[in-house]
Amino acid sequence: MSRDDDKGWDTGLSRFLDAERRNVTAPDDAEERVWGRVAAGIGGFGGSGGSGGGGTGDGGKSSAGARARAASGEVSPKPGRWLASNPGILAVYALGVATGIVGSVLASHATSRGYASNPRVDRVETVAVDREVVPMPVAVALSGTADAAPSPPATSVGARPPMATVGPATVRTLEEERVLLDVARTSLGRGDGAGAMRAITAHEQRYPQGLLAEEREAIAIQALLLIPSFEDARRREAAFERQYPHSMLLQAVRASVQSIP
Amino acid sequence: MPPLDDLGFQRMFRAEFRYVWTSLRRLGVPVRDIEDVAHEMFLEVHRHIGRYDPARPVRPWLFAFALRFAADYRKQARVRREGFEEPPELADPSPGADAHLAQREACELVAEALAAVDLDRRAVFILFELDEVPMADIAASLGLPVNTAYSRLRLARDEFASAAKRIQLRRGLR
Repeated sequence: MSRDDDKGWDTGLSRFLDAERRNVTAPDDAEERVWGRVAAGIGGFGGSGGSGGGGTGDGGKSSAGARARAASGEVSPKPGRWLASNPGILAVYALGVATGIVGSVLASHATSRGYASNPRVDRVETVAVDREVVPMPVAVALSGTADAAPSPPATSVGARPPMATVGPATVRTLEEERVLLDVARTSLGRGDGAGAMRAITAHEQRYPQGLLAEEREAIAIQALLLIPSFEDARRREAAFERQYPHSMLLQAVRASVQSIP
Repeated sequence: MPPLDDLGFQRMFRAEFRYVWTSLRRLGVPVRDIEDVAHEMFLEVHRHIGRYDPARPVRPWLFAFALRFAADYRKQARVRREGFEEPPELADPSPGADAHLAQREACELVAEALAAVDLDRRAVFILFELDEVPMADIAASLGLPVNTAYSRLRLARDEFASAAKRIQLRRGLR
C-alpha cells in the first residue's frame, strides 16, 4: 500500500510527528512489574526471562519453565481424601493464608506509608520510615531477579543477607511476590498440588531469597504432599527446620510431614 | 506458521511491551493506569494467542487489543465521572530529555493534539501516521473496510491539524 494519501495533509506538522514516532518508551521497571503480574495470572512462567531493558531477548530459563509447566500440567493432581484426612496440611494452609493476609496487610500498609515491612512478624528487627534508605532485615535483589539462578533444591535455601537498602521498588517486589504465592495458595485450596508447585517454582526462580521465601517453602511442602511427593516433602521440611527454626509455621509444617502414611 | 505457544507469547511480550505501553498512552489511558490496563490486556492477548497468525504483522494485531481496552477504560472512567479525557501525559522523562527539549515539546504537542481526535479516528491516525502501518493492515486489524479507514484518517488529520494549530498559537501567545 502506498503512502501517497498525503494530499492536503499539513506537512508542517511532520517534525512533531517524527518526534513522537521515536517516542516509543515505557518506565524502566514497568515491563518487569507487568510481566510478573501477567505470568502469575496465567499460571506462572519459569523465570522472568528479562532483558532488564525491555529488549527482545529472553533466556532459556523461560523456555524450560514453559516446558516444565506444560509437562507438569499433564499430571493429574491427587487432592481430596488425603488432604482431608491430614489436618496438619489444613493447619499449614490456614496458617499460610493467615500469614499471607498479614503480608498483604503489611504490604498495603507499607505502600501507603512509602516503606516496606517484613511480613514475618516473628523476625521483624528494623522498620524505619526514611523513604530514601531503609534498613531492613531482608534480602532485596531487584536487579538480580531476572538473572536468578535456576531453582535450587530445598536443601540449599540460603540465609538472608542481613541488611539491604530498599525503597518503593521493594514494596512493588513484595506485592509481586505476594501475587505469585496467592496463585500457589489458591491452587492448594483447590487441591491442585502440581499447580501450586508451578507458582512456587516461578517464585523461587524470580525471588530465591525473597521476602516471602519462608511462606513459599511452607506452601511448597504442602504442595509436595498433595502431589504426592513424600520424599521431596520430607527433604524440604528438613531444610525448613534448619532455615526457619523459629517460624510460626514450623509446628504445622512438621505435623503435616509427620502425618505421612 | 504454527500458532504461538507460551514461549512465543513471552517473546511477544518482551518485544512489544513498550509499543503497547506507548499505544495505550496515545489512546488516552492516563500514565498512572497504563500498567493495570496493560496487565489486563496482555492476559486477554494470552487467551487469544492461538488466533494470532505469525505471518501477519504483530503490532496492528496488538493495537486492536489496546484500542478495545482503551475504549473500555474510557467508558469506566465516564461511569466513575472522573472527567475523561484528562490532560495527556508523556510516558517517562527519559534521561537526557532535558537536552532534547525541542523533541519533548514536539511530543507534548502531539499528545495534546491526539487527545482532541475522536478515539476511533485517532486509532487509524496513530497506526498510519505514527506506526506507519500500511492501510490494508490497519483495516484488517481494526475490522474496517479500507475506504472507511481512509475516511477516518482524513477526518483525524483535520482534527489533529486544527488542534495542533490551536496549541501552537496558544504557546506562541504565552
